[in-house]
Amino acid sequence: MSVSREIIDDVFAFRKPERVPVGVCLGGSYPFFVEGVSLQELLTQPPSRAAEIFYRVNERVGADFITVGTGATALLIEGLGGQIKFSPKGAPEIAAPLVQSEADIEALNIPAALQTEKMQWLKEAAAETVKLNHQQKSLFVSGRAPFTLAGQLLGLETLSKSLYKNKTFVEKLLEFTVKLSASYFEWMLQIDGLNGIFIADPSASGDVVSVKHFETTVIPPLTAVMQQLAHYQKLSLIHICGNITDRLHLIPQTGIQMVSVDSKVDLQQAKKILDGKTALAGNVNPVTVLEDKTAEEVYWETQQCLNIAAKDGGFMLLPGCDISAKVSEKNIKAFVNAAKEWKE
Amino acid sequence: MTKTKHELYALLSDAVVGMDEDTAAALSREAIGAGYDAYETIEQGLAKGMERAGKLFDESEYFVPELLMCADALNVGLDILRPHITTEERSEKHRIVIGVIEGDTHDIGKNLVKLMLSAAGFDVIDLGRDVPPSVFVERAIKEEAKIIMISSLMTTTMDGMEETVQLLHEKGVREKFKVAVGGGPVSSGFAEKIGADGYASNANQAVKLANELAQSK
Repeated sequence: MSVSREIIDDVFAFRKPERVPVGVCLGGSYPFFVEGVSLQELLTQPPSRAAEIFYRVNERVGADFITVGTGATALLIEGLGGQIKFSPKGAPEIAAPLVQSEADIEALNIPAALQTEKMQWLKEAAAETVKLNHQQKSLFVSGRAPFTLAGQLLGLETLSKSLYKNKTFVEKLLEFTVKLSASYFEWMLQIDGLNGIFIADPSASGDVVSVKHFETTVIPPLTAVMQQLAHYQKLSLIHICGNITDRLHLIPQTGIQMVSVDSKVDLQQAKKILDGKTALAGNVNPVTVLEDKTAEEVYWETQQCLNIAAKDGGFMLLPGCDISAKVSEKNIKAFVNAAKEWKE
Repeated sequence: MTKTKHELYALLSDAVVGMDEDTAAALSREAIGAGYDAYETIEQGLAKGMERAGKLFDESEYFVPELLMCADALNVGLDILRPHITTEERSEKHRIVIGVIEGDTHDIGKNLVKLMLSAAGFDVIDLGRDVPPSVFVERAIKEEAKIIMISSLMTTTMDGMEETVQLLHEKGVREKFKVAVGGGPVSSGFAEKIGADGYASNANQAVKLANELAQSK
């Protein structure tokens, strides 16, 4: 019988997997919430404590796919000199834009940002998680894509207007965020035993930018990051929020191997568009299904999702977006079991 | 030749939809120079343009950057025209308290809703982002608002919306306010579940909802 990691490897390679693999957390804060501890508190404790919580909760619910590096974006931006605010309910938030001009960009020091105590702690926590894993599950390091990072450094509103008013500045900022994103992933991939990278690009959402801007300002920087990371030969997965059906056809050219879609995306259509070039993941609604329905209903809804997307492989079950601490463990187990028991 | 006011209003509306700040400014000055009523120019020109932009947003022709650019053109015109509005034209407006719920700093959606509501003639009090439920309630009472609008982009912070509704009940003021919710992970089912009065999926829908709630008892 294959272990979780091997099943996920099969899905990425478009080989028919033994069963459908499943992941529970996208951003990864859920294990901390349910154990009643915040990232801020954990940062004062040994990294092994965070790894232990993280791994134990994912193991308990039966996840095949685990992300490490929760909070990395905010901690990285803090390392660059930004202000962040810890949240008891989620990952830390960026409190204020760090960048306003090209001179501000030039002053940012990526190597120094990666060497802060908090970033070192984060890396050690990821390394401890790898030790607990013994290559059983598939461990992905999570981080942000260049376009979303640009919005976090500049403020999404200013970035949005700058797409029209100051294109040169946007180009400079994206050049920097390509370096930032790739440097962060490279730094984390120094840890032996990580299986892939999980890139989140929420600001590239189909609810935020047009296909035209997606094509000109989201895809090229993403492709640049993937090219820089290609020699690591790790698996790659991206999650983009909102309905991205109209831009899915642009994903394969980035070199990213799997795309995780929001509940707003029609899986059947997505699979047709991706046409075996990029694998698919998603997309059970984290609120209206996973949080609000009974375990029996969650199981049924998840099976419907699998009936549409899991035939012939190339598919991993994930929630359509990150889950809140209010999702019951009973419902998560129903979600996981639906994948593990699904048959064509 | 001087444009008729209807021609000018149409061009002003086009300037907003076309994200053209310079033309919006020039036409707004032209309206003042021609002696056209400033309030009417805003309503029939600038606000109409923003309404059209909202429809394009609804139809996925425009996205956040385009709507923000339209809003910039609108604001350039408003800055020129507002000082010329007479006191009697400043009619009673429905007041809305708006903000992003505690724990969430994603405010672009809220800012778009605020822009659209202001363009539609509502008096909008912006509480900003990361706003605790108690602050929504206190400010709504203090400002004598008619509607409380709460946004959340994260599944992890949506609970604060329910807390706000519960707090209104606890303080015995639930009936005084209409509560509307919105944001990426929010749905009409969620709004119903937490006892809110309405849900809007985007900025344009939020204006329609606000109009309905403002008219309801």
